[in-house]
Amino acid sequence: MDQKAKIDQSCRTAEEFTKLYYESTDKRRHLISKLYLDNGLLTWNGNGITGNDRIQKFYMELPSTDHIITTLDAQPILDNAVNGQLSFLIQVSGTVKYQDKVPKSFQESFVITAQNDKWKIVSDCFRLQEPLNTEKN
Amino acid sequence: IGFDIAEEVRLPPSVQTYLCNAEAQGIVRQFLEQYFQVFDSGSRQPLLQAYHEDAKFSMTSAYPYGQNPKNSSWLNWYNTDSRNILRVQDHDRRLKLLKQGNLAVVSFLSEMPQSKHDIHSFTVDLNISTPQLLLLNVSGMFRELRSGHKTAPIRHFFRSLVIVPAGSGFCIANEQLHVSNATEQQAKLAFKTPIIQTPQPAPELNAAPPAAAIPPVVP
Repeated sequence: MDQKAKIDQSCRTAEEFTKLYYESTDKRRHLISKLYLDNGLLTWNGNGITGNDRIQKFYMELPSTDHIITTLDAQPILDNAVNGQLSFLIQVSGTVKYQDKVPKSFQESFVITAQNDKWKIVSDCFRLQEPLNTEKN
Repeated sequence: IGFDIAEEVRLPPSVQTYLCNAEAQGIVRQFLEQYFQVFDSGSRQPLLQAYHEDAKFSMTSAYPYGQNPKNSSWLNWYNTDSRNILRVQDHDRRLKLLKQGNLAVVSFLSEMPQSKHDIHSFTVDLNISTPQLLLLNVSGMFRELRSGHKTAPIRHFFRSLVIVPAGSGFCIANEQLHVSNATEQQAKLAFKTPIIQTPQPAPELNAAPPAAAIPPVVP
């Protein structure tokens, strides 16, 4: 695949992926583990959670959420870095409400990779945009 | 008599740093210090060495919740080149906003407003560490300098970096940058004392790097 086609594909895939991802976190958390590799990694505000089963458990215990995406960006990762396995870097910004409280701004970064005809999350990094030492809800 | 499920919102406490591989701490710390030292130096040209010849870079920007152009510092400079594919539907425009190759990347970085980053405000997440690549996510605050605003705006950034080995050191293969304004709460704490003080060992250098280059580090 040439670079231009790959770039186009990264954008299309990012649009479909993020729609599914945020629908799942907001409404179908019991299915979220299916989006991750078995040994995928979520870092949630600096808390690392390894493995899709533990990630699902983490989400099940998180207060209910309502995400709105403001920006989305995607690019193919350099072939050499991923041994030629098609992988995309995706970045999202937006707002998230926890149990109908005041929305907070967040940014999130994903690496997704093609495995057996399915896109899977290798890495998911979530950060709320707020100071670290004034944790108030 | 009420119901028991009207619980308060309790979120897990935030942690400033996550490293999937503790041994990479020296490399990460050194990389960030050197990168932002050059980025804030007034000339970003030396960053040519920090990017892979096929590097890709793109940027998005947006106001944080509750802010807009009327009640905060304009993000116009960033919004002009924001590669927000939710809004930018045109394929050629999407392609143009993705900077490809270290020359194009550094040329774009050089046009960005001058900055001073608050390294103590940084959060660092190292999510992947393999011999082929490091995946690093960094967020924090910077002051924008000499960009025509009455008072220097305090911005928030979030960067995602794919870093690959190059020669005896490392370089950036992919980067995504998100720029926003600091929230009111964030701005109050910017450029104050470190938020969390963790004693960190000085990185061990295998070779004394030139001041303005990403250093060669042998893992």
